Amino acid sequence: MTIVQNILAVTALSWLDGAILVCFFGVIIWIGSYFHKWIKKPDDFCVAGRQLTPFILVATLAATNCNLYNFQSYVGYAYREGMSIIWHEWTGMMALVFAGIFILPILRRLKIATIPEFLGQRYSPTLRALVASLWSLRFCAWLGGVLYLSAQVACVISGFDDTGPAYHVFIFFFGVVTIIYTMAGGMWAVALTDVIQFVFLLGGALVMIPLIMHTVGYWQGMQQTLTAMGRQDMLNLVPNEGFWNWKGGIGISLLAIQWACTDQPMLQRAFSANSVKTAAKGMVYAGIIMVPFAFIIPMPGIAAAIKVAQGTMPAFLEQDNALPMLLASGVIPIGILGLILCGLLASQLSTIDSALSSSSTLATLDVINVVRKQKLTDRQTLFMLRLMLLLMGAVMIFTSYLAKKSQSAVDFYIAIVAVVDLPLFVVAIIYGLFSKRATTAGAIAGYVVGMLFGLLINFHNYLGSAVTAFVDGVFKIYSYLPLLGEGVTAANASGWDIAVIGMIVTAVTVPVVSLFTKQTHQAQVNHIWQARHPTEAEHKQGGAFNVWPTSSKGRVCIGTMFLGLVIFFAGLVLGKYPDQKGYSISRLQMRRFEQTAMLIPPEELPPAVSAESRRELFDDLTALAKNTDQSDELRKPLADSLVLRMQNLMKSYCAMARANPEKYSDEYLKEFNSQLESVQAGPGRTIRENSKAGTLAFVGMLIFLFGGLLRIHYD
Amino acid sequence: MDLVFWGPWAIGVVIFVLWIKRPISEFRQLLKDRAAQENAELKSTDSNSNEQR
Repeated sequence: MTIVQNILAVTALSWLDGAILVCFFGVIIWIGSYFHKWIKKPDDFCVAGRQLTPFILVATLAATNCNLYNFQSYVGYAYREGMSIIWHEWTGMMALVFAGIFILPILRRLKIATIPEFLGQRYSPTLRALVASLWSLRFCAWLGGVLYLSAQVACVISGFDDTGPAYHVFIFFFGVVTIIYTMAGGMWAVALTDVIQFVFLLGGALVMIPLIMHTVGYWQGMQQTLTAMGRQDMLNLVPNEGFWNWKGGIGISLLAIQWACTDQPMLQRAFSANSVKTAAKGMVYAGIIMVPFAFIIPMPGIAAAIKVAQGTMPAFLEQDNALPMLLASGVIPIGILGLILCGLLASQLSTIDSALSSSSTLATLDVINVVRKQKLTDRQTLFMLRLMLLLMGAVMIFTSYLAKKSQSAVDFYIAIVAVVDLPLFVVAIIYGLFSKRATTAGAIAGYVVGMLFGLLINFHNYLGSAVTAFVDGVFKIYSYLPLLGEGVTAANASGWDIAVIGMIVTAVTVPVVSLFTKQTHQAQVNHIWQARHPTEAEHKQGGAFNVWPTSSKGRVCIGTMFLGLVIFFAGLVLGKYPDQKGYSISRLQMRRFEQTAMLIPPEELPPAVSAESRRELFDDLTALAKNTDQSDELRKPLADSLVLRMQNLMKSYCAMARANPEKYSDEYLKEFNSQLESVQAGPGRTIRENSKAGTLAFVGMLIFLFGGLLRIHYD
Repeated sequence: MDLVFWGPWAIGVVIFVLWIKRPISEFRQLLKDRAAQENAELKSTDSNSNEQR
């Protein structure tokens, strides 16, 4: 941070930027307090009295979905791996369209406020209370990550050390502001501040991204520069390597469907719609309108990678610092920076307020009101909702310190989702909506066992050799799964593999236990099944929407969506097979190595390493990356000698970091060691990535979204 | 013209403009409806009080 602070000292926020920020927060708090008088009943607090109109609904859904986590983490991952992080957002868009058409109409018709409430209707109050308790805590854990990012951005851009007191001030300030206006105005305040935050967020992005991309020549300039550097694979939408590769695309698709069908903040807004049709339209439009934004958001990350490689921007340790570093580098004029910061922080507030509102709703309606023998009155419920919100806010502030220890906010989020959310998706949506035979005992067993597996796999290293042996056994079985499980072990398993295992375990446990346990009361199941069809009242009000269309045009739209999905997944699977394989150092490994090597500026290199020799190593790596025509026999000796040179450089770095602990924190040593291990693992097999895979997946996505857009107009 | 970048950006601008106008007009209508509802409730409370007298 010393190096970063020196550079940022000349680019700290101006008084104008600060004044803009203060005004913004003042307006947000005032809006929250204005809606205090609209809150008369629990429904007003939780679902805005089910009176949200279509475009307010779309704006609030989009604002909830798009936040600083998206911007900052996507830019960070794009810096490390390239454009393929875009699927994190695009699969989310597709999932919103899917859920809006097939799942949400059923849930909205049941007039529920939370998913656990649905579980109570379908299964039992016990499962409702269990899921709600765990989920409330899960939200707080996730919100900790969101809050951490806000403080991180604020620190880097304002020039303060993120390990110093300023970080704590920012954590408390953002946390307290959001708690105040959400407590005061409930879902009304949340929805309307979301609309304002949405405007700032998108407006900020539309200004910020062209300003940043201008410095690298926009897309064409970026493409030419990357090709000259032998790094054109960064623009590949479905790469063979990295965390966001073809398997990451499949994994995030599963997580996206789970998110769109069970995410409480999203659904709580959709439940606030004034009719079933409005809810469906809101979800579909919210999905589609964000597609172009999602495309341009990761681009600054690649711009940062180019600038670091060229030496025009200092390298940085935490990938989540890519966006703040770009903002603080002087490309954004004074005044505009303040507006952009409003947009980024606004996006955080919109996510925090919705999740706080959701967690307090879950804790009050699904835990306290279920467990208590005597139900709370409306007045007592409102009081409890606000009290729970305050408590959840406090837990959120605590978990923000835990999130800081994780390497990336995206990793932290996926670890939580894999353990808690996917088993819930299987129990609630797959079996809850589509299987009459699933029993309460089966659902509880599936949920608990699925979560337990996720926890054991994530933490087996701390739980003893017996658990480790068990986990090894689980991965041995998983490795037989075609496509996804091939070659996966406990040592090389990614977050995707853990997510899939959790899902499979739950999916198997539920029917097995259901076979031997008492069936759910038939009236409960019938009540859910009847919600598939519009009611008389819906038809009279003109808000009816059929899950399965009654018109032939509607069915053609469904067919179009299905075709799009097939093409999309075909594109992802194609990414598994690179255009050219051979003996070489993978481009991803080269990039990671260079970004780590650049952390030490030329004047601070260890004695054994000169700036010229390091530059020569980078140039030789680029030459190897660009030369795809050589045979393995010619390439092998060069690759082997480069690996040796990379190892020697990292060993010198490690020795220097150990000898100067006051200058190089533990994080630096950890990063250098990680790179050394990665290089010592040896060369990879991908020479040239598959260029068709990304195009196919993209086209499939467009066809799917087009079908979905038409579907909501043809019923 | 770098269409790959400016194309999605331009679409984003159009969406941005549309999505400012519509939510604001819906919100204005919400406020009017709310005010009318509150007036109606006040009148109903007043007429109840008059009847009781």
